[in-house]
Amino acid sequence: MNRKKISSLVLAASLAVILICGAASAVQMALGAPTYDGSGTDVTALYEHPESYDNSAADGVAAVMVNENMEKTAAKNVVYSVVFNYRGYDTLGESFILIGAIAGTMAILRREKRAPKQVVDYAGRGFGETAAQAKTDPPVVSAGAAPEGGRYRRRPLIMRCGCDFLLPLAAVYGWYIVLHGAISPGGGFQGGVLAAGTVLLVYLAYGLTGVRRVFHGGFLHASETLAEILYVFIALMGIFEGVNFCFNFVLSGTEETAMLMNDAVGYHVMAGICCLLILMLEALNTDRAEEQQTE
Amino acid sequence: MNGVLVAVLNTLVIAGALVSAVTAVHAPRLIGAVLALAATGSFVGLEFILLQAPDVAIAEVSVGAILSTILYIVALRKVREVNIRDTVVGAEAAEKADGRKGME
Repeated sequence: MNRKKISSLVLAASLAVILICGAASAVQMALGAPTYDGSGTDVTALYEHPESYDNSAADGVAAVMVNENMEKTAAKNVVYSVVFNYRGYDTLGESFILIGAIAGTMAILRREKRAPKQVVDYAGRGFGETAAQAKTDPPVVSAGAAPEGGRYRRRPLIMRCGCDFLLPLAAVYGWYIVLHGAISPGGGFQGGVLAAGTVLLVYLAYGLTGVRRVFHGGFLHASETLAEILYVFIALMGIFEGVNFCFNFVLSGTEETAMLMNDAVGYHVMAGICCLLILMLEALNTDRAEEQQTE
Repeated sequence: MNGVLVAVLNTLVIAGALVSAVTAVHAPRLIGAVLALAATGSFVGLEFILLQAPDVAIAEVSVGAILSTILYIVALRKVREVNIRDTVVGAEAAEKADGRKGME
């Protein structure tokens, strides 16, 4: 039997196992008593009288999370405490998802050596001994000086003015959502994505040249990894005081580790999404520049 | 918020999510499907707000309706070199090649 037959056989067997187990469990669930019949909650009553929510029948971990959440952990917010304290390990895994996504995108889209000696600064001049070479070599399309097919076309004035006006607002608003995660809707993940919208603003107004001048992909990737390590370090801070991993350990006064973990996640997500957007935009424009070169 | 309003709003939002999801499957052009996916993400975010989970709503809208849409559109542009704004060379060459206008 060749490889194709073996793999299809394995696939069919696993599908059969999944279907049979699923059917058996569904039959068992239908025959047995319902674990939660929803008699204790009424959706409209929740909206009108939130204090009437019946949480007396919680047991195990749910009882701790529901009843003793704010007393046990010095958190400001129940959701915050669940995300970063009781489920801090899940948040760590979610950060790893982002790292994995960026690694996969890099594997597909990253160009290794486009122009190895063309190191240009923001004014288009070369550095050091490569400057003489840059003057004598024929112009390479994908060089840093003119990445868009040799024609750096300026965007319309309104887009440039709009970006100049909105860029600090976007950055500050994204970080506001990160830093106020405990007391207003938001948190690390949400604010990080919003703060990474600055890449798109710069791209719309100044093109890929502007993005390359403002952001540096390698530095963002390195800082994203550093933020991940920082998250683990902050989560481990309370270990020597005898509390769990990711426990909301109060450092001094009102400074607590859940807040620091939130900030680390915000920085991690912002750097990661910036990296992702820069990768996609570079792949897009490099293709277009090369196609215009070959015509 | 009384019971009728809650029920009506939830039904409308879920119906909107369903309609846009079906549109994403049956859209004639790929760019239409991508925009229908953005609409689905927005409706689901709205449903999260109705269920009193604003953190999840912000995450859903920012990732599913904004970032994912941007990545899809960039990928579509990579496949077909015609962009939304006016470029002189790309659009004419693409139309001369096989008569399609791109983003399909």
